[in-house]
Amino acid sequence: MVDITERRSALESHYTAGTFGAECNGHPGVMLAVRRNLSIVHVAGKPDDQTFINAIKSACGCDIPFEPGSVSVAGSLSLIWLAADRWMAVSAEPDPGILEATLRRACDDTVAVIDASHASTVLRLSGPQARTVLMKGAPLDFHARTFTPGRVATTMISQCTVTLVCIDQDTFDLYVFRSFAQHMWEWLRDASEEFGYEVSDILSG
Amino acid sequence: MLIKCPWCGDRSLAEFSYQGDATIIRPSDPLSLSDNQWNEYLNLRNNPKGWHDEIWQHLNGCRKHFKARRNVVTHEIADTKPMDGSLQGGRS
Repeated sequence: MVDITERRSALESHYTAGTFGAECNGHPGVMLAVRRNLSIVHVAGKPDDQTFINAIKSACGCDIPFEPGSVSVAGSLSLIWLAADRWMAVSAEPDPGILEATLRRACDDTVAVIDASHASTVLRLSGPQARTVLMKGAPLDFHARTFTPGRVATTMISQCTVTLVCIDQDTFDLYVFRSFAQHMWEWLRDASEEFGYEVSDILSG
Repeated sequence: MLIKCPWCGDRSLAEFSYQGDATIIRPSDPLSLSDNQWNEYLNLRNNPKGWHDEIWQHLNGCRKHFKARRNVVTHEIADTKPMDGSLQGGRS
Protein backbone atom coordinates (compact mmCIF):
# COMPACT_ATOMS: atom_id res chain seq x y z
CA MET A 1 0.00 0.00 0.00
CA VAL A 2 1.25 3.48 -0.78
CA ASP A 3 1.96 5.42 2.38
CA ILE A 4 0.07 8.66 1.93
CA THR A 5 0.46 9.77 5.53
CA GLU A 6 4.08 10.91 5.42
CA ARG A 7 4.35 13.74 7.92
CA ARG A 8 5.48 17.09 6.62
CA SER A 9 6.25 20.11 8.75
CA ALA A 10 4.01 23.13 8.15
CA LEU A 11 7.23 25.12 7.73
CA GLU A 12 8.96 22.86 5.23
CA SER A 13 8.70 25.31 2.35
CA HIS A 14 9.56 28.35 4.53
CA TYR A 15 12.59 26.87 6.21
CA THR A 16 16.13 27.87 5.29
CA ALA A 17 19.00 26.92 7.58
CA GLY A 18 21.73 29.51 8.03
CA THR A 19 22.68 32.63 9.98
CA PHE A 20 20.58 35.75 9.57
CA GLY A 21 19.96 39.19 11.04
CA ALA A 22 22.44 41.47 12.79
CA GLU A 23 26.16 40.78 12.55
CA CYS A 24 27.03 38.49 15.45
CA ASN A 25 30.58 37.25 14.70
CA GLY A 26 29.62 33.61 14.89
CA HIS A 27 27.77 34.04 18.21
CA PRO A 28 24.08 34.29 17.33
CA GLY A 29 21.89 35.58 20.14
CA VAL A 30 19.10 33.18 19.21
CA MET A 31 18.90 29.73 17.65
CA LEU A 32 15.66 28.68 15.97
CA ALA A 33 14.65 25.17 14.95
CA VAL A 34 11.62 23.07 14.21
CA ARG A 35 11.15 19.82 16.13
CA ARG A 36 9.33 17.33 13.96
CA ASN A 37 8.15 13.73 14.13
CA LEU A 38 6.96 14.08 17.71
CA SER A 39 4.05 12.19 19.22
CA ILE A 40 1.69 14.56 21.02
CA VAL A 41 -1.29 13.06 22.83
CA HIS A 42 -3.78 15.05 24.89
CA VAL A 43 -5.17 13.38 28.00
CA ALA A 44 -8.17 14.57 30.02
CA GLY A 45 -9.16 12.82 33.22
CA LYS A 46 -10.43 13.41 36.73
CA PRO A 47 -7.55 14.56 38.93
CA ASP A 48 -9.06 12.85 42.01
CA ASP A 49 -9.46 9.46 40.30
CA GLN A 50 -6.80 7.11 41.71
CA THR A 51 -7.31 4.60 38.86
CA PHE A 52 -6.51 7.35 36.36
CA ILE A 53 -3.44 8.47 38.35
CA ASN A 54 -2.10 4.89 38.50
CA ALA A 55 -2.85 4.23 34.82
CA ILE A 56 -0.91 7.28 33.65
CA LYS A 57 1.97 6.45 35.95
CA SER A 58 2.23 2.92 34.55
CA ALA A 59 1.88 4.07 30.93
CA CYS A 60 4.25 7.07 31.10
CA GLY A 61 6.64 6.06 33.85
CA CYS A 62 6.14 9.34 35.72
CA ASP A 63 3.59 10.96 38.02
CA ILE A 64 0.90 13.25 36.63
CA PRO A 65 2.06 16.85 37.17
CA PHE A 66 -0.80 18.28 39.24
CA GLU A 67 0.81 21.60 40.10
CA PRO A 68 -0.34 24.20 37.55
CA GLY A 69 2.40 24.95 35.03
CA SER A 70 4.59 21.96 35.84
CA VAL A 71 6.05 19.16 33.72
CA SER A 72 6.97 15.54 34.56
CA VAL A 73 9.69 13.85 32.57
CA ALA A 74 10.46 10.14 32.11
CA GLY A 75 13.24 9.52 29.60
CA SER A 76 12.21 10.99 26.26
CA LEU A 77 8.60 11.42 27.35
CA SER A 78 7.25 14.62 28.91
CA LEU A 79 3.90 14.96 30.59
CA ILE A 80 2.93 18.62 30.37
CA TRP A 81 0.25 20.37 32.48
CA LEU A 82 -2.32 22.19 30.31
CA ALA A 83 -5.23 22.70 32.72
CA ALA A 84 -6.55 21.31 36.01
CA ASP A 85 -7.82 18.18 34.23
CA ARG A 86 -5.86 18.17 30.97
CA TRP A 87 -2.31 17.14 30.15
CA MET A 88 -0.21 16.68 27.03
CA ALA A 89 2.10 13.69 26.62
CA VAL A 90 4.97 14.38 24.23
CA SER A 91 7.55 11.86 23.07
CA ALA A 92 10.11 11.60 20.29
CA GLU A 93 8.36 8.51 18.92
CA PRO A 94 7.74 9.25 15.22
CA ASP A 95 4.66 7.01 14.94
CA PRO A 96 2.00 8.85 16.98
CA GLY A 97 -0.28 5.82 17.03
CA ILE A 98 2.01 4.01 19.46
CA LEU A 99 1.85 6.57 22.30
CA GLU A 100 -1.89 7.00 21.82
CA ALA A 101 -2.47 3.24 21.91
CA THR A 102 -0.31 2.86 25.03
CA LEU A 103 -2.28 5.53 26.89
CA ARG A 104 -5.63 4.30 25.65
CA ARG A 105 -4.86 0.74 26.76
CA ALA A 106 -3.87 1.93 30.22
CA CYS A 107 -6.91 4.17 30.81
CA ASP A 108 -10.60 3.36 31.17
CA ASP A 109 -13.54 5.05 29.41
CA THR A 110 -13.65 8.01 31.80
CA VAL A 111 -10.36 9.31 30.37
CA ALA A 112 -10.18 11.11 27.03
CA VAL A 113 -7.05 10.24 25.02
CA ILE A 114 -6.67 12.21 21.79
CA ASP A 115 -3.78 12.04 19.34
CA ALA A 116 -2.96 15.68 18.51
CA SER A 117 0.44 15.11 16.89
CA HIS A 118 -0.63 16.76 13.65
CA ALA A 119 -2.31 19.72 15.36
CA SER A 120 0.82 21.50 16.53
CA THR A 121 4.08 22.69 15.09
CA VAL A 122 6.82 22.61 17.70
CA LEU A 123 9.53 25.27 17.54
CA ARG A 124 12.67 25.29 19.64
CA LEU A 125 14.09 28.65 20.60
CA SER A 126 17.46 28.76 22.36
CA GLY A 127 20.44 31.01 22.95
CA PRO A 128 21.38 33.85 25.31
CA GLN A 129 18.67 36.19 23.91
CA ALA A 130 15.88 33.58 23.60
CA ARG A 131 14.16 34.80 26.78
CA THR A 132 14.37 38.41 25.59
CA VAL A 133 12.71 37.48 22.30
CA LEU A 134 9.81 35.82 24.14
CA MET A 135 9.48 38.85 26.45
CA LYS A 136 8.87 40.99 23.39
CA GLY A 137 5.84 38.93 22.44
CA ALA A 138 4.10 37.34 25.41
CA PRO A 139 2.41 39.02 28.41
CA LEU A 140 3.96 36.51 30.81
CA ASP A 141 6.41 36.90 33.71
CA PHE A 142 9.62 35.63 32.10
CA HIS A 143 11.92 36.44 35.03
CA ALA A 144 14.60 33.75 35.24
CA ARG A 145 13.48 32.96 38.81
CA THR A 146 9.80 32.63 37.82
CA PHE A 147 9.74 30.85 34.48
CA THR A 148 12.31 28.17 35.31
CA PRO A 149 13.29 24.89 33.62
CA GLY A 150 10.42 22.41 33.89
CA ARG A 151 7.72 25.11 33.83
CA VAL A 152 5.01 25.44 31.18
CA ALA A 153 2.60 28.28 30.39
CA THR A 154 0.00 28.72 27.70
CA THR A 155 -0.18 32.36 26.66
CA MET A 156 -0.30 34.56 23.56
CA ILE A 157 2.37 35.73 21.16
CA SER A 158 1.33 38.05 18.36
CA GLN A 159 -2.38 37.16 18.71
CA CYS A 160 -1.71 33.38 18.65
CA THR A 161 -2.13 30.92 21.49
CA VAL A 162 1.19 29.23 22.26
CA THR A 163 2.19 26.71 24.88
CA LEU A 164 5.69 27.55 26.11
CA VAL A 165 7.84 24.97 27.87
CA CYS A 166 11.06 26.07 29.56
CA ILE A 167 13.64 23.33 28.87
CA ASP A 168 16.60 25.10 30.46
CA GLN A 169 17.32 28.75 31.29
CA ASP A 170 18.06 29.57 27.63
CA THR A 171 15.96 26.96 25.79
CA PHE A 172 12.23 26.98 25.15
CA ASP A 173 9.79 24.86 23.16
CA LEU A 174 6.81 26.61 21.55
CA TYR A 175 3.73 24.55 20.68
CA VAL A 176 1.83 26.48 18.02
CA PHE A 177 -1.31 25.43 16.16
CA ARG A 178 -0.17 24.16 12.78
CA SER A 179 -2.11 26.73 10.77
CA PHE A 180 -0.42 29.56 12.72
CA ALA A 181 3.07 28.08 12.35
CA GLN A 182 4.17 30.23 9.43
CA HIS A 183 2.95 33.41 11.12
CA MET A 184 4.75 32.49 14.36
CA TRP A 185 7.90 31.56 12.46
CA GLU A 186 7.96 34.92 10.70
CA TRP A 187 7.30 36.73 13.99
CA LEU A 188 10.17 34.87 15.69
CA ARG A 189 12.57 35.61 12.84
CA ASP A 190 11.61 39.28 12.92
CA ALA A 191 11.96 39.48 16.72
CA SER A 192 15.36 37.72 16.60
CA GLU A 193 16.70 39.93 13.83
CA GLU A 194 18.37 42.47 16.15
CA PHE A 195 20.41 39.80 17.98
CA GLY A 196 21.54 37.84 14.93
CA TYR A 197 20.01 34.36 14.75
CA GLU A 198 20.80 30.94 13.42
CA VAL A 199 18.24 28.61 11.89
CA SER A 200 19.48 25.07 12.47
CA ASP A 201 18.51 22.01 10.49
CA ILE A 202 15.06 20.62 11.24
CA LEU A 203 15.32 18.52 14.40
CA SER A 204 13.92 15.03 14.19
CA GLY A 205 12.36 14.47 17.60
CA MET B 1 -4.28 44.81 34.13
CA LEU B 2 -3.74 41.42 35.75
CA ILE B 3 -6.46 38.86 36.50
CA LYS B 4 -5.80 35.98 38.84
CA CYS B 5 -6.73 32.66 37.24
CA PRO B 6 -7.56 30.25 40.10
CA TRP B 7 -5.02 27.80 38.62
CA CYS B 8 -2.44 29.79 36.63
CA GLY B 9 -2.16 32.81 38.95
CA ASP B 10 -1.81 36.43 37.84
CA ARG B 11 -2.00 36.74 34.05
CA SER B 12 -2.59 39.55 31.60
CA LEU B 13 -6.14 40.64 30.81
CA ALA B 14 -5.33 39.90 27.15
CA GLU B 15 -5.50 36.15 27.87
CA PHE B 16 -9.03 36.31 29.31
CA SER B 17 -12.52 36.50 27.91
CA TYR B 18 -15.61 37.81 29.73
CA GLN B 19 -18.40 35.24 29.63
CA GLY B 20 -21.30 36.98 31.35
CA ASP B 21 -23.23 37.32 34.59
CA ALA B 22 -22.44 34.56 37.10
CA THR B 23 -25.63 35.03 39.10
CA ILE B 24 -28.07 33.75 36.44
CA ILE B 25 -29.60 30.38 37.29
CA ARG B 26 -31.25 28.31 34.58
CA PRO B 27 -34.93 27.67 35.41
CA SER B 28 -35.44 24.05 36.47
CA ASP B 29 -38.53 23.64 34.26
CA PRO B 30 -38.16 25.92 31.20
CA LEU B 31 -41.37 24.60 29.57
CA SER B 32 -43.51 25.97 32.40
CA LEU B 33 -42.29 29.56 31.85
CA SER B 34 -44.19 32.26 30.02
CA ASP B 35 -42.50 33.94 27.06
CA ASN B 36 -41.81 36.97 29.22
CA GLN B 37 -40.16 34.90 31.96
CA TRP B 38 -38.04 33.06 29.39
CA ASN B 39 -37.07 36.35 27.78
CA GLU B 40 -36.05 37.66 31.19
CA TYR B 41 -33.85 34.61 31.87
CA LEU B 42 -32.32 34.55 28.40
CA ASN B 43 -31.83 38.20 27.51
CA LEU B 44 -32.42 40.68 30.32
CA ARG B 45 -29.50 41.53 32.58
CA ASN B 46 -29.04 43.87 35.51
CA ASN B 47 -26.48 46.59 35.06
CA PRO B 48 -25.28 47.22 38.62
CA LYS B 49 -22.93 50.03 39.55
CA GLY B 50 -20.22 48.55 41.77
CA TRP B 51 -19.60 44.90 42.59
CA HIS B 52 -20.66 42.26 40.09
CA ASP B 53 -20.16 38.49 40.10
CA GLU B 54 -19.05 37.40 36.64
CA ILE B 55 -17.94 34.38 34.65
CA TRP B 56 -14.56 34.72 32.98
CA GLN B 57 -12.59 32.27 30.88
CA HIS B 58 -8.81 31.95 30.74
CA LEU B 59 -9.25 31.64 26.99
CA ASN B 60 -5.63 31.89 25.85
CA GLY B 61 -4.30 29.96 28.83
CA CYS B 62 -5.72 26.90 30.57
CA ARG B 63 -9.13 27.59 28.94
CA LYS B 64 -10.99 27.05 32.25
CA HIS B 65 -14.04 29.08 33.19
CA PHE B 66 -14.10 30.63 36.65
CA LYS B 67 -16.02 33.18 38.72
CA ALA B 68 -14.75 36.68 39.49
CA ARG B 69 -16.13 39.41 41.75
CA ARG B 70 -15.32 42.65 39.96
CA ASN B 71 -16.14 46.27 40.68
CA VAL B 72 -17.39 47.58 37.36
CA VAL B 73 -16.60 51.18 38.42
CA THR B 74 -13.00 50.74 39.57
CA HIS B 75 -12.19 47.41 37.80
CA GLU B 76 -10.90 46.11 41.12
CA ILE B 77 -11.24 42.32 41.32
CA ALA B 78 -11.91 41.23 44.92
CA ASP B 79 -11.77 37.46 44.34
CA THR B 80 -11.66 34.72 41.72
CA LYS B 81 -12.77 31.13 42.33
CA PRO B 82 -13.38 27.94 40.34
CA MET B 83 -17.00 27.67 39.11
CA ASP B 84 -18.04 25.61 42.16
CA GLY B 85 -16.36 27.94 44.67
CA SER B 86 -17.98 30.83 46.52
CA LEU B 87 -16.63 34.34 46.08
CA GLN B 88 -15.40 36.29 49.11
CA GLY B 89 -14.78 39.97 49.71
CA GLY B 90 -16.06 43.08 47.98
CA ARG B 91 -19.77 43.79 48.46
CA SER B 92 -22.20 41.87 46.34
